Amino acid sequence: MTGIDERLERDLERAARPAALDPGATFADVTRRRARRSTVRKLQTVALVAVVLFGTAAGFLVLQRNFVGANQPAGGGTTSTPSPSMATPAFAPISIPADPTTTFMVDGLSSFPVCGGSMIEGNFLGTGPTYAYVFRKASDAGCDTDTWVVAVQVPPDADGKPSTFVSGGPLDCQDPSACFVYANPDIDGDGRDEIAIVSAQGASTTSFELYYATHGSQGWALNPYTGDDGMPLRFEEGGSATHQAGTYCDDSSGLRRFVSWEATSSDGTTFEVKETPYAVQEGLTSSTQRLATAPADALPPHDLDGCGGSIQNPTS
Amino acid sequence: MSRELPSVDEATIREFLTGGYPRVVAAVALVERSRATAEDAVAEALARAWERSERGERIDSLPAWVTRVALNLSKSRVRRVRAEARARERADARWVADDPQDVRLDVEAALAKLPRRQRQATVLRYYLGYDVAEIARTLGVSEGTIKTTLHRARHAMANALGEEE
Repeated sequence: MTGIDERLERDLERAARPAALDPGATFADVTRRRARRSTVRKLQTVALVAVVLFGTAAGFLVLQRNFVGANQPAGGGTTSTPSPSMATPAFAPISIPADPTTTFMVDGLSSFPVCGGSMIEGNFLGTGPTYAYVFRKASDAGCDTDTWVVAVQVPPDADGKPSTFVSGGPLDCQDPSACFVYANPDIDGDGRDEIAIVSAQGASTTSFELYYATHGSQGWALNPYTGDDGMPLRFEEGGSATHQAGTYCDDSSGLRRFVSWEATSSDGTTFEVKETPYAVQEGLTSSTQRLATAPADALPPHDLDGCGGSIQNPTS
Repeated sequence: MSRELPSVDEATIREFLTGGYPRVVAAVALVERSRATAEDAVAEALARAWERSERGERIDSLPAWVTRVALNLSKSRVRRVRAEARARERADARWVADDPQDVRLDVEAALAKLPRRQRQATVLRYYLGYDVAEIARTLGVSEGTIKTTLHRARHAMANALGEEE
């Protein structure tokens, strides 16, 4: 052990100031928190059941109305209007250098230079088309930090105020070549796109996280969908002959569900499939996993199928 | 039909509170530079461990699980603001140090200049005594990433403290 190692151990030990012991008070605090979490979880379950019931009833009414319409004479039914295609934003995106090691400043985003940017277009704020980006934070020495951020361009307003940025992160990326915007799905079907960001890449599997924009009293914010442990949920696409994974959106119950799945096989022909459906309600809440057996050519949908948007930056 | 007993229960938590708790809080406080945030995050992590265990999830090492979750939770700016406001209300003056102020300032100032990931890795390695594999598991990244992170952190700390590497 060298001098710096010994000094760090010694000085951190002295600087740490271990917590004063009051186990009784802390235990009471933990108990209160556990009770509160239990109550909130029950309320969420009740709310989820209510939403499912409402969605089922609404779906039934819509279907009933459509079938009644089908029996009417030609010309008497309603006409459907195709969804408008995504228009192009009325403002220019940031010009990202072709060389990912080139550092550059982005006006309105940060006081530090960035590098290695990637971009995708979508309706991330619910205000119309705009652009989402992933940048690597650069230092004075160049494109060399381990910090990545996600940002969305807020359109200029009617008063001529220039476009600004809302940013989030830092992203949990481990490899500069595998940290970029991936897709613009609408996970919860609310018309506002989420941002899928690749955070790791294996030989055959791509891992991504989902970020969404919210607007509160402090303005816009970008947050990841997280699990119970506070970590961003990570989903996988791709796989090998004996292991496959994917994600898709399912509207069959009248309530959109985001589903991630993984499948394993010992022979490459028959797979054991484990699906995890998520309800979207102030975050992604997983529900009971579904287990099934499927042949290799009948695995569940993948590549965010049914979620809207598109994978605009494929990983291969 | 028998059911496996929860891996975390009242007895486990009480044992942790009189055992590893002070060092875990101190470690999170070193990373976040806020004792109130650290106490809040560790208490919340304990509540989540208890709840998840009751739902049937097995938690093999409560200190490691709580450290990982508390480090993640303490990143939240909202949680930080709330915890520090509560601490101010309590006029919590339990920040007591019996060490020379200059030692505290030197190492804390040097630590504060590191990026968060490097701060976390440094505290886990040199204060909690984790090895590379344990740090990688705690922070959810590869061992290679941790080796690089620790190397950079150690270099920066040596420069800041005027030590030879």
